[in-house]
Amino acid sequence: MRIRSLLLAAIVAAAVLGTLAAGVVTTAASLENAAAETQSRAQNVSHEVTGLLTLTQEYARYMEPRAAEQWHLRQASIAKALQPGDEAQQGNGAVAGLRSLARDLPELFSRLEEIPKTSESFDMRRREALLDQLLTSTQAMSDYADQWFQDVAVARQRAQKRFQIVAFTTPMVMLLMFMLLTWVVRQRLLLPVQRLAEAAALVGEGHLGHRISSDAPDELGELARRFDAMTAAVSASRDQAAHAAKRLRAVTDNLPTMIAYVDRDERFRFANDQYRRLPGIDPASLIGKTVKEGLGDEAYAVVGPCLAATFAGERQQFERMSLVDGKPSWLRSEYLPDIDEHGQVLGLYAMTIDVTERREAGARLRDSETRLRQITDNLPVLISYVDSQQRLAFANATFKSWLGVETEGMIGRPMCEVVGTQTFEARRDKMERALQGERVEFEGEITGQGVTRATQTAYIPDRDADGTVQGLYALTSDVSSLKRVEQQLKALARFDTLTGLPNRLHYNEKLPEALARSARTGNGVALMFLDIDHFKAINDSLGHATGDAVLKEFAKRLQKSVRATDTVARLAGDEFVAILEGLHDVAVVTLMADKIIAEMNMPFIVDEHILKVTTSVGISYHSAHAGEVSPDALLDRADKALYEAKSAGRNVHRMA
Amino acid sequence: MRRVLPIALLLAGWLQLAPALAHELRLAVSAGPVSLPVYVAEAQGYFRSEGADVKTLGCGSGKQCVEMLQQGQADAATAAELLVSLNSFTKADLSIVATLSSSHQIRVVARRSAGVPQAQDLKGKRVGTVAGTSAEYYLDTWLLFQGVDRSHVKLVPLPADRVAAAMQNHEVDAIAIWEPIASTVADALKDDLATMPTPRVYTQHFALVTSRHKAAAVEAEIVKLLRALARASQLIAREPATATQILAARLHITDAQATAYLASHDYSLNLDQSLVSTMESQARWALRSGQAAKGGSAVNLLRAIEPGLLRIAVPGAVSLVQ
Repeated sequence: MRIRSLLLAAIVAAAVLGTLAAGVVTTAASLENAAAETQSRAQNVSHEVTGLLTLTQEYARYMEPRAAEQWHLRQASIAKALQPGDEAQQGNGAVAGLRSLARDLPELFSRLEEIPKTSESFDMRRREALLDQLLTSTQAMSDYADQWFQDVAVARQRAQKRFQIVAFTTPMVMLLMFMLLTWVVRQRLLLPVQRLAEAAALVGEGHLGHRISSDAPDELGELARRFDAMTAAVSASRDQAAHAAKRLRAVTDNLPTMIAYVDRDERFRFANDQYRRLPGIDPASLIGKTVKEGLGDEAYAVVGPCLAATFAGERQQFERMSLVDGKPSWLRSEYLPDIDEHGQVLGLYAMTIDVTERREAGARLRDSETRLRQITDNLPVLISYVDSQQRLAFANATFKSWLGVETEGMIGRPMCEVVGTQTFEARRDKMERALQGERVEFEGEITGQGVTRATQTAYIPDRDADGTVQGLYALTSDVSSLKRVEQQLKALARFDTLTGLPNRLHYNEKLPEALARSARTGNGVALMFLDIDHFKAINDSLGHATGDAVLKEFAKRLQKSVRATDTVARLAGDEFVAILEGLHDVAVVTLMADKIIAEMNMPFIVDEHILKVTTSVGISYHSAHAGEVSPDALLDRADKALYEAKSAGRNVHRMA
Repeated sequence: MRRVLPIALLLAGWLQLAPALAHELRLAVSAGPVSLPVYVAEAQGYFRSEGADVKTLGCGSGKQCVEMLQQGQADAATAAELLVSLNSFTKADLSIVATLSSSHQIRVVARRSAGVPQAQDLKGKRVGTVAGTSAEYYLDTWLLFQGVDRSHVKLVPLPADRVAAAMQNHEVDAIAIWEPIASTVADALKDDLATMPTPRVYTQHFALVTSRHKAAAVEAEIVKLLRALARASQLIAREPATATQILAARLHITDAQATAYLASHDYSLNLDQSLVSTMESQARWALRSGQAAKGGSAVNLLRAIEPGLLRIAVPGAVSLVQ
């Protein structure tokens, strides 16, 4: 049964029992009083009947009217005393008999009074008989009165006994009821509450394994079971928290960081094992101490203001010197306020790391950067660094000396602003390729401070450890002098040093260009292949010097025989070619061939030798309308035509 | 166990023998509402439950019952006190043990057509009654009360079982008889019934009577009988409806008649001083009316009453001084 129902039932039962007890006691007392009153009446009636009996006997003896009058008075008194009204006596046979006699006796007595007081036999017999009946009936009244008194006495004794029983029993029942209620309250309320209180105390002392294990089907039983469930949950939670704390401590102890929690009273509530590195500090004994007690006055002078600021809600970061592992070290501390949901600062988290090496590395890095800048600033090379967002991150001092650009204002700005839109667009593709990881090199020119420089630029991707391109290094060197040398070398390579004519290399460049122009303009191109007839004989007979002189003169005359726009080249030995462009008619070629032959037929005066020198000319003509033709095919056709001219006796030209 | 077993066997044996040891008490019971306590005790099984082995024997009147007692056919009888009062003049061998009931059940029933519209008209008329019984005593007393000399009335003695027939056959003009004969005759007369007054001239005490010389022999059984009758008396007072049903069934009368009888009877089992007064009055009447031999004398009537057994059976039921 639920406790609420039980208590309600107990209260109702107590109220009902109390009311019943009061009612029973009152009724018993009332009945006892009524019985006493009835007994008093019965006693009175008995007394009256006794008197009536005496009067009857007196009348029987003396027949005096006085006695008769008293008899009637006494009888009336008895009749009045026996008047109906006491319902409790309705069932009493004695009372019924009394009433019946009280009703009938007057008639008997009156009939007796009527009898003449003579000595006649009949009257005497009659008087005697009636007197006998009167006396007998009056005696019966007396018997009934006595019986009534006895009945009432018994009834009163019973009423008294009932009252005594009730008077004794009622307090006993109430006491039993009270004891029962006390027992119920103790069993159902006090004991369970006591067990709950004991369990709560044990749990409060940390005995989370304690269980009430109640199976009572009432509210306290349910509360006990919920308490057990809560304790089990708290136990599990505490185990988890302890496990988590253990893991956290294991993690924090092995972190190269001093981690602590300080409450609003500036007392350590947590400090990891790293605090052992500080001089004279045992992390375990640190708990409960104030920061000042734990770290000392000197350290507190530094951290104290930061503590106050953090408790005011501000995150703090600062560095200080301290001995760490016995060595002077720089410590960087960060204080984070612990703020609850109401905005109240409950404490702070302190994280302190040894930044000595970092500070030293930073110093070394700064020194290195300084040296590097000095180096790069003094290198005749433009050195810059462009980040992945194509912003200038670094530029050496060469930019100022070459371009007059103040690089300090350029750092961090987009490259399009630094170099101008035109230059940026020209180099954008290369820059993007480099930012995608490709090393890109190219040449160019830059003009600054009135000087144009040929430059060689390399975009070198800057990859980090995982290969991601972070930016690019741009190295631009001045290659003007190299360019000039290169130009010279290139010129030397394309001209025959003996005759000054373009050599075969140059020819190989010119003929394709001429064919390309022919294709564009639609004009014809002719290729003349010439050699000196019997040049070997000259060379053999007059020596190589003479031969070389002949070659030089031959070249000179050939150059003079063609138009300025035409190209004459010495392919090898005595083999020369002439590329004639802008031709509209093949006949012009023939005329020019004739002109060349005629010019060569003029005597050569060489080292005091007058020599007759002739030439054979093979010609190949290519019309722009004839489609494409390869340079080699054109030369091959010219060579065949030369062969034909040789075969024709030399000093002639032939058209292929 | 060795001790208990013989005791148990002895107890069982005694219980088996106990009924056999009980003495059978033959009780002659006069038919009528006056014997209701006997009927109730018998119907409710009070005799057996009190350990009394009672065998009831029916008889037409108390006089017959007493005769059975005197003839040894019965050990006890129910009869009016008058029989004992008259006996005191002769054998004086009867003894009243207790009063079963007291009532005014005897009355005069007259036939109007016989010229008896009222009591005074009985002069010269034939009045039938059972001679030597309380009916005759009632008639005498009633006539005196009414101022009628008995010598002016022609008394016709009748056996109890012939009273009704005598009235029906016009052998008599009126009768003085007890219930239920009186009611039977009155009902038969119908419109011819002359209603006679019923003054309290006689309160009949119907008693349990035993023979003086037998009393000692059946003393224990009488006590048991008295206890059973006391329980019956209590039931009649407590459950009149049950008593009414028993009476109606026993006398073959209607419930209404039975209820009327209960109302006119006092079934208290007792021995009161009024019994002595009544018997003394009857003794004087016996001398006056010639029921007793002239010059005879009754024994001390207190000796005709034995209150000792009732005192044992029902303490407090005896109020007479003896």
